[in-house]
Amino acid sequence: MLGLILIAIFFGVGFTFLILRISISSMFWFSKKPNDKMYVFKNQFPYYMMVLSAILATILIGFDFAFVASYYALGVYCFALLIWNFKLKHCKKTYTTTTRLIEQHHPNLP
Amino acid sequence: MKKLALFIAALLFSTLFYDQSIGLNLFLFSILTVVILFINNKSHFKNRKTQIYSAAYLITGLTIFFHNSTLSIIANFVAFFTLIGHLSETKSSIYINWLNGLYTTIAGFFHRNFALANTKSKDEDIEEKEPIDYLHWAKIILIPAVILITFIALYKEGNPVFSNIIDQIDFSFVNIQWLLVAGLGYYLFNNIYAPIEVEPATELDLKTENDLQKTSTFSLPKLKQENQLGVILISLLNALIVLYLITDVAFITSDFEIKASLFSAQVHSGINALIASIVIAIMILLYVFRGNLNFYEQNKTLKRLAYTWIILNILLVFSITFKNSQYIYYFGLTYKRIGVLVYLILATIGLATTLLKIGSIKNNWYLFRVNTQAAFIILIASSTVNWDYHITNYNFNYAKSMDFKYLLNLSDNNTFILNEQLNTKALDEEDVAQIKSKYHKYIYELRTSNWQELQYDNFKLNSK
Repeated sequence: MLGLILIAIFFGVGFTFLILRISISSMFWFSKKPNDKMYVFKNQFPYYMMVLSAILATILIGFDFAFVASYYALGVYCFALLIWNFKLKHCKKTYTTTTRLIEQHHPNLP
Repeated sequence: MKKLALFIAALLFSTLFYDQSIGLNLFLFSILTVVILFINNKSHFKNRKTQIYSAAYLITGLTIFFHNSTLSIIANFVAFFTLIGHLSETKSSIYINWLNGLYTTIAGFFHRNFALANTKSKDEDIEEKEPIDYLHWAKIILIPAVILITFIALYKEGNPVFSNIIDQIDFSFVNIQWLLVAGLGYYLFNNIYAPIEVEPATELDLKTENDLQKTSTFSLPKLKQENQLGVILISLLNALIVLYLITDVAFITSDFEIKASLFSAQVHSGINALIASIVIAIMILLYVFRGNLNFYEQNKTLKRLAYTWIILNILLVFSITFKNSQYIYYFGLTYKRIGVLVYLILATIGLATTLLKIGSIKNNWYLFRVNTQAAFIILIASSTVNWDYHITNYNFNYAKSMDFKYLLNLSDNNTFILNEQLNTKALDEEDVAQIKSKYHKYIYELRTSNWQELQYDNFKLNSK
């Protein structure tokens, strides 16, 4: 029984982490300027945190502020901030931006 | 000083809220929040609007103490976000205040930290901060702690007096949950003490003016056609609403006996349709006066027709109000019926501001700004009323009939007045038993509540 609970917790935490990681990365992927961290921070981060908080508040109310739900919500919130912190301060990854190359009409001109 | 204030506030937060239900604590928290905000934003508090928002926030806190209702708690939260959002940018609209207030409460500390780190890294003159050596800190805490514990264990074996002293040390008073709540309080106050803003939304709001501007697509032939369409449409709608109002007056002034039986069906099916018609009326006017037609010189007839239509719609609101109040008189007050009245007030404000918008050539943002402000004022004002008490009082003393079960299922705010009815009204045995049960349960709750959960009813109980 304990093993099952541990596996469930492991998968639950893992799944939550995966969702958070993907959702935060998608903020960068779909941003107009994915390599400009300040731009992403100003334009995406506030709305992301507000939506996440609204979801967590809904979970909390849905579970009638149960002990486990409170800790889960707190954990998810901290996890999200940590991931944002990593992405904004420490992550060195650069994103390739798709810019349309304009074909030259007269390539042989001097 | 700031850190100390935040630390004290965190301890008070935990004292007020750990393992307590809502009561006096939310009012004290409101005072604490205003104090913390005042300490850190003194210059902002000279602004009249800030003072009004602070007063509104404190009033909602006080209403929770007087009658602990869901509405007053919601109003308190909204006033909290409004005040904090207003401190982040005093010139922004109220809905941007809500956005900024919410964002500050959720992530103010993180935002300030990252924004500060970013500006510092850009500034070449400032020396780079030395990174914190976490390993070193772990070493200087963990290694002495492990060695100290080992030596304590060894000395305990060698000396019974020392062993006794060590055994007497009791850390059971440390409540981890209490500390966690205090931590949460510290984080909350750390977030809000210096409010921040959602920059793109705030900038856009500050750039957006209230006045409508003439656009480059100004074309007289097109506007003439639009004007004609508007005149025909609004004339017909005016004629229709006049006809409706005449029939409505005829219905209201008709035989009273028929009216009482019909009111239920009328109110339920009719009011929703009329409410929708008022919303659509405002939307049509907004569409007609959306752009350059406002600057068309020959739009005077159209404007007069629009004003007439707005005034007729206001008359329609009065007609609905009359029907609703008749319904209340016959069947008693309920939250839904009060909700209809609140909606009608909002609709009247909406119609009046639409009239102002057309008259002084304002844009739709003006309408949105003024109406959200009005909604906020109505929320705060309605939260100050103990609705459960007034519903019960009206239904027992003035209404022709009432639903007793409905009154019994209201919150504890009507318990005392229900109990008073036992002496004055002839009630069924079952009803009496239910009132007594509710009363005794509430009295028990009041008597067993802590000082943080105190309500005005506690004092009423003590004075009896």
